[in-house]
Amino acid sequence: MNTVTIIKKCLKGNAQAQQQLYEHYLPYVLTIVRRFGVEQAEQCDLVQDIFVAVFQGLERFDPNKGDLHHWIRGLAIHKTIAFQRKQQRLRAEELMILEQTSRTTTIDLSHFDAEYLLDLITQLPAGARTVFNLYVVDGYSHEDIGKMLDISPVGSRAQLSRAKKLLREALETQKIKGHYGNI
Amino acid sequence: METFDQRGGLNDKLGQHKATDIPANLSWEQMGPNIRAGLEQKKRRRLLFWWWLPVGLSVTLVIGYFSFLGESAELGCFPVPGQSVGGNSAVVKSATEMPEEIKGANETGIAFSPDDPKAKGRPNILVASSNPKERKASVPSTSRAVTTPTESGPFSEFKESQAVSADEVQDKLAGSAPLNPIEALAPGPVVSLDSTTPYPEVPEMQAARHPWIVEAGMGLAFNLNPDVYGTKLPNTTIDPLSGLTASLRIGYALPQRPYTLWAGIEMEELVQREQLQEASTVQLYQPNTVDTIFRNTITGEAFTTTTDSVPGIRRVNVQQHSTFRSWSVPMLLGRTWSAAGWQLEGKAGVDFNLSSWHSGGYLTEGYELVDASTQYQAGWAVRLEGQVLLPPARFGRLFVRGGYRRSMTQPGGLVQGSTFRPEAVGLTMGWRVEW
Repeated sequence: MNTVTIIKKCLKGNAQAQQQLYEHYLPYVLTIVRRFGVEQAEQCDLVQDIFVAVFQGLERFDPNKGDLHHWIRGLAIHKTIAFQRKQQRLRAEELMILEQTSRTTTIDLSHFDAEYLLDLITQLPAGARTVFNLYVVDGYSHEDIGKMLDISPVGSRAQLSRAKKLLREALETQKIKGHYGNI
Repeated sequence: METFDQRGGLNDKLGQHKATDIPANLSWEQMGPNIRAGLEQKKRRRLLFWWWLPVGLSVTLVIGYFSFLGESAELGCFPVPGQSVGGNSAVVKSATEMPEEIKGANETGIAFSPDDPKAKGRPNILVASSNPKERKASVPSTSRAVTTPTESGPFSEFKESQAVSADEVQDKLAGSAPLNPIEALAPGPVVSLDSTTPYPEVPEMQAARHPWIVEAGMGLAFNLNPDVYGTKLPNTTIDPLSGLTASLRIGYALPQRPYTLWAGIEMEELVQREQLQEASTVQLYQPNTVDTIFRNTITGEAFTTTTDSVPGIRRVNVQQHSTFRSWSVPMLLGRTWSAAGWQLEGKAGVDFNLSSWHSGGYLTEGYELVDASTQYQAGWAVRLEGQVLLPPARFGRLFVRGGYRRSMTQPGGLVQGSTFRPEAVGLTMGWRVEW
């Protein structure tokens, strides 16, 4: 069953199509939810909210403007950030911390397992983790991130520097064979 | 090379990553019903939104009808000399009623309406004619003219002077084009009202609306969207937070203005029932069926065992009742429109309230009270109300009131966090007495 057919059936309330779409995109959505540091006990609620929004918003989805995967991914990111903000995990004072860039060395992360990197990212402070995810993984600009988190682009850059610094420190202290790349 | 130094640098590695360890509680079997229930709830909410559209349109039409076709307020009024009476039908009616003195003059042949055929035959009586050709100069300078207060404008000046010469009348009329032409009749004996005759007494202006109003009513209230996360619990049904309201209000109608000030006391009691029902299959052992008897030969103690059992269903029924009770003192400003005895009122204002939330759980197998707690909170809310009043009957009038209330001090709910949204709509019916 192709995407357009699934969408049409989902819009008609077909449970089988909804199950297909859910099971296909759940792993991606779950990665996003975990990547942004949502606790395990809350993941169920958030995943449900995301998929309710997905099924409800399918009628607004236009296949000509992009693929369904990117649309669901964007929706999941926005829902996750809104959830975190509602839970007051993204505090303004933390997001306003300014961090000076101290090192500019580049780390090649090609050799690292995705799971290992995700684990490192989830250990970052909430503000730095969110900005790092949005900029480095999801490709948002600092202006967009500033709007999403209600901070300035300068604040977003500072959080990114902080995240990179903490990640470098974590990678240096955990010199595990096979996980450590070229600094 | 994948680095975290460039924008989207880890998109391929982490952005497309799929989680492999899916927890069992995220399977479609577990999540599907909740997601579908959430979708249904959103659909209902959307339906509720569109339902307000025709209601809003109807309210707009009703307000428009009362604003443009009705009377702005039932204010009693008597025509004042020299003032235009406008289009108020009540005023026109009272203005065209002929005072007793004038009626007397009419009966004695002094004053006539222009349409009265008898007027043509009466001498020396000033009569307004609708035919411009009949407009002539007045001859007798000593004649007196009277007129009924049927018109505004220069005629009103006649009323003020009570009696003027025909010349003066003609002079005035010559300069006023819109007036009906005046026919001057042939000279003859003129009988006029005594100039000392007092002008008909003008009744004291008084408002038809009575200034003090008391309203008592009872009705229903519904909390909007009381529980957004309730559907996530399986086998759980949650009734909407709804209940009864009672109100007693006193109002003061501002004199000669269609506005009313309101204060009073109201009680609202909303109840929410949450019910968890689960049925599980069990093996029930049949009494009085024994398979084996073990007997302790030393102590003589006997044990009996049986495998004779029948399948059954064990039902667990847990309920939680939550009661939201609020005492409030509303302070409102009302605007009134009226037509054909009906009245429409819009009200807006605030209320100050003291609320309590009593929550208790019950296991229905023994109606055992598991836990109960009560919390109190003081706050304030904004209100918008619309009210239709039927035509007055003996001792008062019936009203039906619809209202919206939004608490401003309970943004996250009283005790249930996000599960309680302090917005409510209500429908109240009651009786209004005015004096």
